[in-house]
Parts: sequence; structure tokens; C-alpha cells
Amino acid sequence: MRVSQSMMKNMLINDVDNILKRLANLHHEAATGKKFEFPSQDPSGAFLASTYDSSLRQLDAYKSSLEQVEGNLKGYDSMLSQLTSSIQRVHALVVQASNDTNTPADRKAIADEIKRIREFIVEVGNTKVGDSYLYSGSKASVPIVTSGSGTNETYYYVSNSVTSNANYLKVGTSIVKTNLTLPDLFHYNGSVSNSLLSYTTAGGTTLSTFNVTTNSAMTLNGAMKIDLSSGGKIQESGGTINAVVENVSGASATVSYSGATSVIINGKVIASGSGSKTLSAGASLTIVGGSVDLSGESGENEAVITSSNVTLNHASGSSVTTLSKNTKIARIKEGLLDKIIKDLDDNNVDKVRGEDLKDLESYENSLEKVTADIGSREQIISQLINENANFNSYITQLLSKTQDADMVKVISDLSMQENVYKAALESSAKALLPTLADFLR
Amino acid sequence: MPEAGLFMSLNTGVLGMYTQQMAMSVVAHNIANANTPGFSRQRAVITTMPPLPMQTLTQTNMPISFGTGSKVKDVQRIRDSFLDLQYRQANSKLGFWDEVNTQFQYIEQLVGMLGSTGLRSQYDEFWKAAQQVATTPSSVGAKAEFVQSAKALLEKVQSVYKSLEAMKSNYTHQLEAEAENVNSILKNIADLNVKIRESSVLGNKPNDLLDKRDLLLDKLSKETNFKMVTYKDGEIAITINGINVLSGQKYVPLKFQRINGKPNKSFLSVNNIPLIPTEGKIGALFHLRDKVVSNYESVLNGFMFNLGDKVNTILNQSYDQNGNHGQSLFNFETVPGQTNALYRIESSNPPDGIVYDPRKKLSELFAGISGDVTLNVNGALIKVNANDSLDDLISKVNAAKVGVEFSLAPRGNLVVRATKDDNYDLLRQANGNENPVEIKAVSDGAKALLKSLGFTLKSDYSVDLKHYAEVADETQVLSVSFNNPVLHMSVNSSLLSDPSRVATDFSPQFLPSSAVGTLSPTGEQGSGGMQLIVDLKTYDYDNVTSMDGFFGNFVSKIGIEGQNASAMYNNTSSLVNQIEHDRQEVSSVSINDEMSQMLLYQNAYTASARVISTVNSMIQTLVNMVR
Repeated sequence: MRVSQSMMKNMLINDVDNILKRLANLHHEAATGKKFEFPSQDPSGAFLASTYDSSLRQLDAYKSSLEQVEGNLKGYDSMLSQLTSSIQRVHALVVQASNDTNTPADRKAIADEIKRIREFIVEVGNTKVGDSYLYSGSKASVPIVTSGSGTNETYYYVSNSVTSNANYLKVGTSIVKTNLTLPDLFHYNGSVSNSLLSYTTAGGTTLSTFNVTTNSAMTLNGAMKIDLSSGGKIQESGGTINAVVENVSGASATVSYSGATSVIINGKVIASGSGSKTLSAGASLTIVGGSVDLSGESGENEAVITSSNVTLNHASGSSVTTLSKNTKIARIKEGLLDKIIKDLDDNNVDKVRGEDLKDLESYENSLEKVTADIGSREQIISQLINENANFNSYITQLLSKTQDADMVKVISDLSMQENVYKAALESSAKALLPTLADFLR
Repeated sequence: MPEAGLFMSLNTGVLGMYTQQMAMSVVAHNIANANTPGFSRQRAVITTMPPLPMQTLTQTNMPISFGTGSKVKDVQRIRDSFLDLQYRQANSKLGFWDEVNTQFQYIEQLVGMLGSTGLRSQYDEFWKAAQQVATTPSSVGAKAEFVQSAKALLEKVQSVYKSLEAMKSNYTHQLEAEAENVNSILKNIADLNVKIRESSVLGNKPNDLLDKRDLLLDKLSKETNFKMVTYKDGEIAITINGINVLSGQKYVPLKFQRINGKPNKSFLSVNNIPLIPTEGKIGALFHLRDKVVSNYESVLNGFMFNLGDKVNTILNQSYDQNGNHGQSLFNFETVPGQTNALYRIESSNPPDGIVYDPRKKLSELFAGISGDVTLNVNGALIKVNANDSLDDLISKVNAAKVGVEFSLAPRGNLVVRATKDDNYDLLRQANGNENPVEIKAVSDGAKALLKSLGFTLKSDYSVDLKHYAEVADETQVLSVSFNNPVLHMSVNSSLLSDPSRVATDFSPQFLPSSAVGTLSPTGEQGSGGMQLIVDLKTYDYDNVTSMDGFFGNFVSKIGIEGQNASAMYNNTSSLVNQIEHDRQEVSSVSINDEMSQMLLYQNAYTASARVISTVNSMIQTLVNMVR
């Protein structure tokens, strides 16, 4: 094999180049502390590093959400203990008022104190943090509002599916309920009709009469939900209504109709002409022709249509008419505190020491349950925060293993390559010099 | 018959000196050109002079052949043309991978996901803002952050996209310059061809000219792949991709062809035939511009479409604080007067206010569906059963991977989106041919299903995409621009100015055991819709890739491509080095070699001189004898 000077030179340059490249890589590793800079240097490592990086950012976001919720829950907790002591005070006052030694004037004074406590409870119920009311479910308007004035002044809140809407925090696969609503807070005995403060079921928009005018056979399919817990009616002429009835209170709703070709309940044709039928919760109703009145238990609130502006469709898909809704404020149901105040004002001692005291005790029980629930949620959140921190340090470790340079190795490799580099330069200096020409005399 | 005499020996000595002197000049030429690029060492080919048959005193009847000395017959170039061929082939590959490898580092830097400034961390910021809104839905600050981070994300994607566009136009400029370079090489070769032919005709071997031409061919091989034929008179012809660009003294220059309005589609042509080399630097520039960078642009488009449209769909079906349907976060603008791509269509059922439970059986949702139902989606026959749910249906379609992605809007509307395979166009009009994606009912049940979903159908019970292309309603269709679509996206300015209108509220109410539910506004603290946006990051049921999955794939794909480029560069580079080494072994000038040759010739020269002086003294002796 021939070896010429230019070949030697090329080889040397190549070799020194390679050493320099390795040196540069090692220097970069040492300077950045990272094994690689570009995905191409280690695709699978880069994939992992990128995923871990993203996971860390995700954990960070979860952490701030969790801490926020933890703060809220702590707030609920301390407010609940304030509420509990207020209720205990009410309890003591009611017991005191039950005592026959009190004069009507004494009882009026006690009623006044309970009124002040009620104001305090209202304040708690209207707590606002930042932009949001803590107890308003998904509504953002003032949860507890005043009605009446002067001595008649009272407070009530809205208790329906919106204000009792639970908000959730989803952290990975765990879901935590993050809020407490007024219905959670004030209802007791597991029943909607018992409440510490006065309330109303319908909020904002309520439906009194619901007129459907159609000019030929139409189908209203499926999903019109009508809350008939306290009344209301649907009128229809000349078409078909296929409505699913939800009866919140568990009581029945009544449908009365006239001139109907057929009345179908739960898929069965049961009648025609005129008459009335009782619907149980969850019943589906179809009425063809005629006009229909749908009403719930009489006398109290109006029906609520929860889907706004339902549109009737032809089978061909074109829209025919839009159902309209009317606005009406619903009646207020009296709460326990108001009852107690009224009974004290009226000097109705029997009621105070009988029914009222018993209800107050069951409210206290329910309040305890709510407090315990908040406590357990706080525990879950702090567990999640712990898990988050653990997971964070675990991922950080993984990330470090994936992308951090092994400094000991880098530094020793570096000095090794430096030596090789020096040796290469030295040998090139020697190798390039002499030729036969130098030795010819 | 002559007799061998002293004068003949004298002449032989003179020839010897002359020959060695000639050979010495070749050595001198070699040494002088030891560092000349492309130079191949030369050797003087020394042969004997023709012998003379001569009678001798001792043998008068039979003449003996006497040598008459030496001569330089030829000066030969020491070069292996087979190695040249191999070198040029490998060098074309090296030129290709060298460029690709270098450029890949820029691309990686640009779209790289590592570190805190990359695309992925920008998306994570957006996601984090969404998570914050989901935690505190009524906070205007959090919503403002959400909108701003969406803007930052879009701007990041657009800036990366613009940089990719800039790279493309850079490649185009380089192509123009490289074409000039190739033309000047071709011109020089053509000139050399003439000179070489002239010398060859005279019987000369124009070694140095041949070296020069070989060097030019080496240079050309770095630019492009080519094939070469040598003619008898020493001229060569060159073809690139089978297209003749040079023959003898004639060459056809590569022409840089511009296309009006599409600067980055310019190409090269020879005699009006488009020429796209597959190797060499020019091949690499085409590859980078038309394949690599375009591919990443397409991926970016797809990412932003998918995210933007999914976020929009969720927002549109959620309610804002005032109980109105949410506004889109991202605007997709189309260029008036240009054909647009049909990116997404959406079924019209369920109507506003109604929600389908995607886990309930199809037979519970729709009347008239029983048994097996067969859909033809782009050629794949998808069989679903009436007992399957909507989730099952879209999962089956997506598993078939036929160029469309099925998904469900939050309320349960079926959404069909085009993927990269269709160039993000359900009508598939990219190359001028109109062959739309087909979604067709095969069985009677399927007809009922497509009808119940509320798709507009043609008479053959296939979804009428042409109808959708003419619909302007954004809740039903989304049309996007063909040209740089991501640059035609923007963040909704009314949300930017009033972030409180970001819709967060989506809480459907299902009755027990009912497949259909209702949806109505519940108030500004409802966070169901925003939670769905948060879930996009990790959601990957139904065979739809989550954002995390997308980024993971993207990083490994770019990494593997980059690694491949650098591995190919290293391989071809060492191959070229090896062949160059082999070539040098044959052709390069070794000083030691030349020195020893020099000594050899010098000695022979001295010896020949000695022969002359010896013969001279012999003649002297003879002359003195007769005195």
C-alpha cells in the first residue's frame, strides 16, 4: 500500500477533526449539563424528556388548582364552624325561650337576637372570594336575597338544579367536588322542603303557560324536560307532544286534555277525547291532537322548563315554531329560622319547644354531616397534593436520568479526549515533517 | 550489415542521459504538483530503443540484436477510473446528506420541543390557563390568561411556520445559485472537452487537462447525481436523470423556472423538461424544500387545525356567563375567490339544547336501527351493531385509519375531520382531481343511521360533501384556506377585548336510563366545557390522538429523522473518505517515492555519463594507438 504525504495530511486532519467533534460534544454536555440538545442526538431520550417536561408542567398546574381548592375548602371549614356556633347559640336561645318563665317581651327580644344571627348566617351564605360566590352553585348572582322591608324583612335563596350544581376538580383520574351550595348547607332531614332559611325552587325564568301552535302533525322528540314539581301546564293544539316528564318532588303531575286523538303515556295509548291522567316521575307522554294542560300539585309554584327555546321540527328538518317562555317569580317557602322568629314573635311556646326545637336538632345533625363531608374532602385534597409532590419528585428524577449528563463521566471523558487531542497534534507535527528529501545530501 | 561500434555505444550513452533527464523532468513535475488538487502523479514510461541486428567478428553469418539504448515512450497518468466512478457516486450521496444533515439541525432548533421555549411548552401554558379557568370559571383574569395564551400559542406556531417558509424560499434561492454553479462547471468541462480532443487527435495524452476535467466532475458529483460516457476522442457526455446536459463541446444550461405567485415551487429544467436530481446538494435542496419542510408545515397546520377546531366546537356548544352560546376562540379565514379546503363537517343532530349520551346504544338513540349496520367510509366497510354506542362507532371508524377522523362534539354531534392524508380537505381537491372522501350507507340500517344523525345525503345515501362545501354556517362546516392555512388563523378579537365572554358552562342533564338529555345554561361558575378543553391534552379514547400523544410522536419522529440524516451523513462521509483514500493511494504524489525515483534517475544519468566518458576514453585509446 502506498502512503503519500497528502494522504497522511488528510488522515491526520480527519482524525483531529473527529477528536475535536467529540471534544465539542463533551464540552457542550459539561456546559449545559444535558446529554443532548437536539432530538436527533437521542430520539427515544428526547421523547421521554419532552413527555416528562410536559408532565412536570401539568403537575405544576394541578398543584396550583389543588392548592386553590384546598384554600376554598379550608374557608368552607372555618365558615361551617362559625355557622355551627351560631346555630348552637340559636339552640340555647330556643331552649331558653321555651322556658315558661319568659314573658312575651322576653321572647320578642330573643327573636330579635335570632334575627341578628340570621343576618350573620346570610352574610356567611353570601361569601364571595374573588369573582365568585362560594355557595351559589354554578350561578354567579347573589345567592341569598332580601325580600320585604322593615320588620317584615326576610331572606331567601333559590334552590334548584342550577344553584345546587356541584363543581368538580378533575386531577388526572381523580375527581373532587370542590364547592358547597346553599341547598347543601341549609336543607336538612334529606328533604328539599326542609330548610334553615327561606327558599324558592324556581330561579329567574319560570314558565307559566307554554303554548305550542302547529299547523300539521309535528313531532317534538325526546328531550324536553319539564319540571312539574309544583305545577304549570303545556298547551298544544293539532300536533304531537312527546315529552319526558320529570317530577322532582316525587309527587305526581296531572295531565288534562281535550279533543285529543290519542293520549300515549309510556308508549301505550291509554285514552282519547277529553279527560285527565296522573303522571308519575319519569313518565313519557305523547299527545296527538287536541289541547293539553299539564299541571303539577296545585297551588304552589309554576312549572319550570329547563331547556330554553325548544324548537319543533318537521320530519323534513325545517323549523316550525319556537316555544316561548314567560318570566315569573315563584313563591317563597318559609325556612326554619323564620318559623322560629315568627313563633317567638307570636309567643307560640308549644310550637317553639315542640316542632321548632326538633327541627333545629335535625338541622344540627345535618350540619354535622356537611362539616364531616368537607373534612373528608379536605383530606382527599391534601392527599392529592402529597401525591402530586411525590409524583413531581419521581418525574424529576426520571427526567434527570434521561437528560442530565453524567458529570463524572463527562469530565473524565473530556480530559481523556484532551490527552488524545494533544497526542494527535504532537504525532502529526512529527509525522508531517521528514521526507527522504531531508536525508539526501 | 553494420557492425557494432564504439560510436554506437556513445550514442546509447547519450540516449540514456537524455531519457533519464526526461524522466527526471516528470519527477520534477510530480514534486511541483504534490499539493495540486486533483493532480494524479505521472510516470515516464521508459522503453528500449529498437535493437539493431549486427554482424560480429565472431559470428559473421548470424547477426546478433544489439540494444541501442532507451527512450521515453509516454508520460502516463496513474489513475483508476473505476475508483473515480465509485467516488462520484458516493460523493453525490454525501452532497445530499451533508446538506440534509446541516439543515436538519436548523429544523430541529426551530420546531424542537425540548426546553422551555418550544412549541410543547407553549401548548402546556395554554393548557395550564384552561385548567385555571376550569378551577375558577368566573375569574375574568383566568379567562384573559386563557385567551392570551391561546394567542401566544398561535403566534408561536405561526412564527415557526413562517420560519419554515423562509427556509423554503432560502432553499429556492440556493437552488438558483447551485444551478449557476452547475452551469459554470458544465461550461468548463465543455471547454476542456475541446482542448482534450485537439490534443488527443495529435496523439498526445493531455494528462493535466484530464486531471482538471476529473476534478470538475468530482465537483459536479457533489452538486448532483449524473452519468458519464467517454468517447474515443477523449470527449465525454453527461446525463442527469437520463436527460442529456452535455455532449462534447455542447452543453445545455440548467434553467431556473419560476412559477407565478408560487415562488417556492420553482424548479429546474433542461430544454423545458423538468429536472429534479435525486442526489447531490441540488437533490438535497429539493428534498428539503418539497418533502421535509413541507411535511413539517403540514404537521403544524394539522396540529393547529385540530386543536383550534376542537376548542371551538367545545366553546360553541358551551354557554358563557350570560347564557349565550360561546364564541369561537380561533378564527379560520379563507381567501376570497380561491378554492378552499373542506376541513370539517358536523351532523345536525342533536339540535341545540339536546344532548346524546355517547355510551348508550344506538338503538336507544335512534328509531329504526336494529341488527348490524354497515357504513362505507372511504372504502373501508365499518360494521356496527345497534347495540354499539356512538363511542363504539367512532372508535371503529378511527381504527380503520382511512384518512378521516371521526369524533363527537360535546353534545354528541358527529364530527368528521380531514387528516393529513387528505391534505386536510374532505373534498380532496389538492391535485386538481375531485375525488371526495366517501361516507356512504351500505345497509338499510345505515341509511337510517346517517339520516337520524342529520347528515345531508345524496340519492345514493352517501354524505353530500359538495352540499356542505357551499354551507357557510360554522357550526356545520369548517372551510380553511389551501395556502399556508395556519397563517390565516387568528384569535377571536372580541374574546381578546372581552375575555369574560369565554364560555365555560356545559352541564347536560340526563334523566335516569335515558339516552337523550337536555342542556341549558347553568351560570358562569359552570366549568364542564372548560374541563373538556383541559381533557384534550390527555384524551385518547376512540383512537383519536391526544395532544400529548401528538407531541410525543412529533418529537420522536423529528428525532429519528434527524438521527437518520446524521447517520447517513457519517456513513457516506466515511465511505467517500475511504474511496478518496484508495484514490490517493493510487494517484497521490509521495515525496519519498519521487525522491527514490529521482535518485534512481540521477544514478542512471551519472552512469550514462560515465558510459560516455568511458567510451570516450576507449576512443582515445584507439586514436592514440594509431599515432
